[in-house]
Amino acid sequence: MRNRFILPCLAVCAILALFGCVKDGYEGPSLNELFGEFEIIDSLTLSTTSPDFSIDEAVEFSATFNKPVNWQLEIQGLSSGSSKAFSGFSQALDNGAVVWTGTSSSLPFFELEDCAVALSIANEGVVLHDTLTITGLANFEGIRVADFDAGLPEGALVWRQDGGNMTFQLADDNPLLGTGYFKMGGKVGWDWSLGYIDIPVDFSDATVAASEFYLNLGVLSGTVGIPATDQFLNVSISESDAPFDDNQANNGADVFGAGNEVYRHQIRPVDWNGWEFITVPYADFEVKHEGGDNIRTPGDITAIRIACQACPFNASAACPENADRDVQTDVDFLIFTEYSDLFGQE
Amino acid sequence: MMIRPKGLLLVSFCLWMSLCTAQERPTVWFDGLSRSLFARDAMGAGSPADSVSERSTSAGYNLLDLNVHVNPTSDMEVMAQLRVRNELGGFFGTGTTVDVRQLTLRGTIDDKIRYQVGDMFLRQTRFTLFNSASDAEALSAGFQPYRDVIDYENFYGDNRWRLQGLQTDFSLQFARFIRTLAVDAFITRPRGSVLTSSGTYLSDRLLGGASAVADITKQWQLGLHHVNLFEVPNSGTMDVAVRNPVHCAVVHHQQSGERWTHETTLHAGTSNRTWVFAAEDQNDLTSSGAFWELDSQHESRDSLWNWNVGYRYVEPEFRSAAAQTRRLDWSSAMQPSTFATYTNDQLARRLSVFDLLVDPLLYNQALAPQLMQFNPFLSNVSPYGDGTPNRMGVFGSLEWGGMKKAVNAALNLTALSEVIGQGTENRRRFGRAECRIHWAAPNLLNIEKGVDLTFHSKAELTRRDGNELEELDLRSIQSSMELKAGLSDELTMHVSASNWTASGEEFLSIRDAYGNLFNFEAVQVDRSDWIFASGLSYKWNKHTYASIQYQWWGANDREEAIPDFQYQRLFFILAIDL
Repeated sequence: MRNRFILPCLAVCAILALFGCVKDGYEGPSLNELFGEFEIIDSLTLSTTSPDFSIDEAVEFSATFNKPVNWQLEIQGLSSGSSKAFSGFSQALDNGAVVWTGTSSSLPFFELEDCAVALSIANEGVVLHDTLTITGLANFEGIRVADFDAGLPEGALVWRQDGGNMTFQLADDNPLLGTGYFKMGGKVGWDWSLGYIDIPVDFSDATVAASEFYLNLGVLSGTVGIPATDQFLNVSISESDAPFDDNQANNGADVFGAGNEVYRHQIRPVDWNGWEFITVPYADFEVKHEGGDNIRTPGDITAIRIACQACPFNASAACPENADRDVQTDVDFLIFTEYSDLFGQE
Repeated sequence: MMIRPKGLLLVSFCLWMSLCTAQERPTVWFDGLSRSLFARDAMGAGSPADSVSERSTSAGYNLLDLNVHVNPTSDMEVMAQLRVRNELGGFFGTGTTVDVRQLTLRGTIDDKIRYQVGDMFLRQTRFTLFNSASDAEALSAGFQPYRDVIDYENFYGDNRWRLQGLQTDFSLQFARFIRTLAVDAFITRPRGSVLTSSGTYLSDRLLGGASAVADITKQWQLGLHHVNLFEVPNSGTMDVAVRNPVHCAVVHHQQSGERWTHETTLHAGTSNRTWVFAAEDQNDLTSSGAFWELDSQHESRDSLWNWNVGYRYVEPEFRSAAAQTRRLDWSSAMQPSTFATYTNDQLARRLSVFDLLVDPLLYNQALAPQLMQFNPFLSNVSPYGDGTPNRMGVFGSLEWGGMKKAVNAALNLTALSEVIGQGTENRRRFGRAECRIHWAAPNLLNIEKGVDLTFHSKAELTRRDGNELEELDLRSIQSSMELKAGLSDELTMHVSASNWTASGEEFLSIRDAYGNLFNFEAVQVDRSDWIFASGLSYKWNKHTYASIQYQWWGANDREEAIPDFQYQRLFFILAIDL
């Protein structure tokens, strides 16, 4: 009985052993390459050192090493302090893997200025340096809604309360980008709403999903004193196909009223000093008014409202300290981008 | 108080439906568990200077898990587990939650086919669907109350994964050729469609499987098992979906002699993992692997001796998500729940073994299609259980229970190597020796109810030859000893000491989102963790007990940049099995 069992088992094991052999070669990258001596095969080179980004020029960076390494490339604006960073793990920067179109990784944006370029391979203690000069500013990819450089966007409506120190006007003393920006602020004691700007748009060319459609907006506060308590921006997006401003007796556009398909996102609180750049995917907007299919569809967007709001100091005595503070939620450079936010662009 | 209305509505609906469909008066019965836990942590005298962190903290909770069983008919049961939990210090409803923790409907159709819908606990073979124990659990002498909490909170019972779905099984008896055939099939959803922070929706992830086990004769048994973890692309907005079918055949033979019982089991199977891309110009990524294992077990008829020997071969490309998913995922951001930062520089404190032994929130319950990262300090030989890919070699064990069962001694030995080298043609070789001795001395030291002494030790060795860049030598030893003295039938005093030490170097595999190995991270390990504990336990029965313990624990790292730390804990638990 035992032999009857053992023999078939041995036969099976012999067959399996044939398929259970050691394999030649190795898995993954070579350790000798990864942890061996580091060499630079081709040093850092730039396709151009005086890019004019305004005519869609780009800078392509290239370098080749003898092994894959963790690298980080940083471009630093020597005047603005702006920076743009790329990083990766590879043996070479080539074939258009690292292309810069003049964007930055965070505020501030680059100016017409000299820039320092540093390619760091931290594990090897190696840094390669170069310089370039920006001769034309970046054309950001996206749907530019308002930059306030040449006035208000066409067809825009502005409404504000009759409060104190109300701004709601164009200004050029401290723009985020370009030459102008739009001031939104003042002092209103009886109501949360101070005012808003309504902008008609046509996004019918946009085909991406709401999760890949980003609102990008610069917001300035804190330059006229301590920011007011609970001041914020209420951004509404309408997908209503009703006329933008048919009833001129209304305060602002009609398409944001009840019964229209409207989505909302609050930038709240606005409690910083200086410019901040806000990016948010359209998918994160909540339903404000049900009036359509309740599906956020970028191609159906017809209007945008940016409303300035703050905790009132008089109506419910909720924020009495705001009696001594001016609300400031100035805005600049409203642009929608596809697939990534503005800082995610190359 | 936070009440989850959806859960309560669901329970109410199920109960109502069950009652409506009942032809007879339903039976309702209850069981469950109640637990009170309190822990007070304090910095030890040997901790580095830290005037920023609090010197001590305390936390605890009371909870009641009430299992409501309703039998609307004799062959149907609805079970809902309702949890009421109150954090210590929460008064007037603050910090109190009411939750539905489990919901299951089960029954039989015509006394032949069993089914269950809802929460279920599934397991197949060690290569297809299996919840392997974590690295930190092997040695936990004196930590059984913590072990109970972690297993209970994470549903780690009997090496099963907790899943939600539909399962059915039945068995058939035959007059010829085979004696019986048992069939089991299930479909579950380990993950629903999820909105990520980037605004994309992850697809539904489903796990389906089936088993057919036939008793051919009294000696021979044949089993066929299949599981498939897959994603439904249409349910999300991702442009990639995974499929991971695994097949396994098991041949089992058992034979009884006059003095010995012999059992031999052969596992063999294949796996395939494919990343399917939505873009037509992107080729799917497929990897296929196989495994086999032969295990021969022998037990003396008097149960005095028990030994086994076997051989296992698992190809590097073998991927089985439901068997290789780890309880501890070191690639996730796991943080200590107490004293997360330390020293005046507020350094992030690394997890010590004590954290792993006591904190149930560190553990994972989600099946993953990629290999999770592991920590070579704890285990380097089989970090993904017996289904660890790229391993081949022998294993065996010897167990002896003598002196009228007063002594139980076990020795497990494993010698494995890689099937293919990683980063070099030289392959790693692994060795593991594990020894466990339990001695129940009835009259030692004149203690009326006797003394229980347990010693458990595990040593691991990883080596690789080669040049100075390829060479590896990682050694670890983990030891634990516990002394329990019975002061009465119910009251026990216990003292335990545990130590985990490892030193050497290793390369961690860095894989991309699709599991491709593209980089290595060189790590130096030279540290030891330790725990001393003493306390009293009063046990009414196995699951109803009270225990109070004082624990001293800490870690020492030879690297000067990582300061040592030392803490103490007073711990109390009262667990009542309802």
